[in-house]
Amino acid sequence: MLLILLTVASASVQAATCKTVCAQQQDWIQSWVFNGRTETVVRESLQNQADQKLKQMEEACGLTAEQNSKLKLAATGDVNRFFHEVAQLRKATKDLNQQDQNTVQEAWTLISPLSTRLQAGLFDEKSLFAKVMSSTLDEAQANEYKKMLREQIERRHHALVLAMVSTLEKHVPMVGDQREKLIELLDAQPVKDVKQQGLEAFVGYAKLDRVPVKELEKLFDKDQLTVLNSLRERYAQIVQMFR
Amino acid sequence: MQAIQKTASQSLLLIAVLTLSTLFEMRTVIAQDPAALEKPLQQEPAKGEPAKQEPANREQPPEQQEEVAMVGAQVFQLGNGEAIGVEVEAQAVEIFRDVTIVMDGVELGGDGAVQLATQVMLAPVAVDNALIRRVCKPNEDQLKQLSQFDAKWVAKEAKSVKANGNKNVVGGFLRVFAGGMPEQGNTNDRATKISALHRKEVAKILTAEQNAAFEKAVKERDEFRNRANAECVVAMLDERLFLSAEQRKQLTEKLMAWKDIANLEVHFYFQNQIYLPSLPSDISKVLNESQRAVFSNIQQVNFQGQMFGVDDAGILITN
Repeated sequence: MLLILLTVASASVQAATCKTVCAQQQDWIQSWVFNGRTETVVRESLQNQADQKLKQMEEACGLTAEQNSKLKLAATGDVNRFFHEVAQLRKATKDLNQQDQNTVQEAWTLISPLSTRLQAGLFDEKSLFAKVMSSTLDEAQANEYKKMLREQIERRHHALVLAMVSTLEKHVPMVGDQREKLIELLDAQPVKDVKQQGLEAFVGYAKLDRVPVKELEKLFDKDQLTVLNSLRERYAQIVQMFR
Repeated sequence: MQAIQKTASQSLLLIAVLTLSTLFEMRTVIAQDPAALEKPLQQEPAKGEPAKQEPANREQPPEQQEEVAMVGAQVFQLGNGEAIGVEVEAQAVEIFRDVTIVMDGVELGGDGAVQLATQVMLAPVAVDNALIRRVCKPNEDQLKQLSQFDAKWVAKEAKSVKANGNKNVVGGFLRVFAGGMPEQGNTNDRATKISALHRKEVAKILTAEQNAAFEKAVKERDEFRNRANAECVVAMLDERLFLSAEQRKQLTEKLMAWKDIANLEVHFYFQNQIYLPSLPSDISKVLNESQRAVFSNIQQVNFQGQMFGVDDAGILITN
């Protein structure tokens, strides 16, 4: 239900962006991959992200000048490779007939993987950056960096738990003590990091699904449980992805 | 271009269908058991005391079953047999009828309008009624008086409350796709006003002490929502800007004090990670130079829907 709403909203944003940009330039790459931004702005943004990531690593595990230089080169390589693919895609879509609906759909099939990659971030585990990192950092540095990333994910998941509990309160009245105990229970439930699949918004529901029914029964009365169980049932399929 | 417009038109139809089905689905939480929000807490029997037997007449009288089945056959799943559930559902149909009149020209399908009215206007009142029962321990007489704030009361107030603006979720999406569509009734604004009126009326029934306890619970809930949304925004920023612990703390405080924080639909931004909400400008004071450079390149989009409604700000690309 929420997924549908968010997807609809996302489509609306995409369409609004596309509508404006397409009207001006009819540049599919700019509107569908860059979300209306120019190539220069996107390149600058990616370069800034890479610099920021290096700073983060520097703080987490202290890089040597040589390590820094290798990682910087790898990040630049990832950015260049991405724009190389953009250039190829631009060529492939250049002569497509924009008046033909089938062609538009064909173009979208070609373009959407690149758009998804940009949205997910270029420096993921498949990136050149990640490969160079694993061969460049020593064991202690790698552990420190992993620890820092794990803590960051835990903070994100905790924030999403809070957001879900806040949403629950639109349906289930809770007293303060129930709210705090529910948060504790949810935080304690381990779930996979599914950021890459775009499912992160459902982390709270995945954790709710993992809480043993007996624990919820200790915390809530029958009427509250009725609504909670209804929500658990509704998200049952989506939360399978977190197991 | 024409092909794109054609695709957009088809998408428009799909969006309308999806939106209505979304609204319909959202209704089911309360529809499945409206009594869950309306009933007093079930008391545990004291030690040694035999457990209370459920009343023998929990089943709906056949004539009530028939009535609800008739008025809401295509709209509701029947409740769990609680008489109060039957009543709420039947009254919600009445709200749907009133809302189509109140919302000036909004021609929603029956299911969608019932969804909107029940979930956006009735649910906050029902949830607050249930919260009062849990935190104020009202006596029998107070409970009787509180029971007047039901679907019928909401329906009546929905007619008299004047809502600002003229927008709603369906109109919001239609405008994005088609542009220039007539704006429609702002149900969220109406719901906020009905909620405020409910609290004012409730204060006349509760003792000063009880009312203070209820207000405190509402305040804590509101603050919690602000904290939850602020922490989500900070987590999103942290993902891109790699914030220090001190920066996270400062940003959380600033965002909790931000006037728009309660209305953010934060899940949207986790679903669409290239966007951030349009944040207040003083956020950048907490960032260092390189973080500001990254921050300034992130697209900021205002998505202030509250699960069920997108108000006038709707969707706005700011850079």
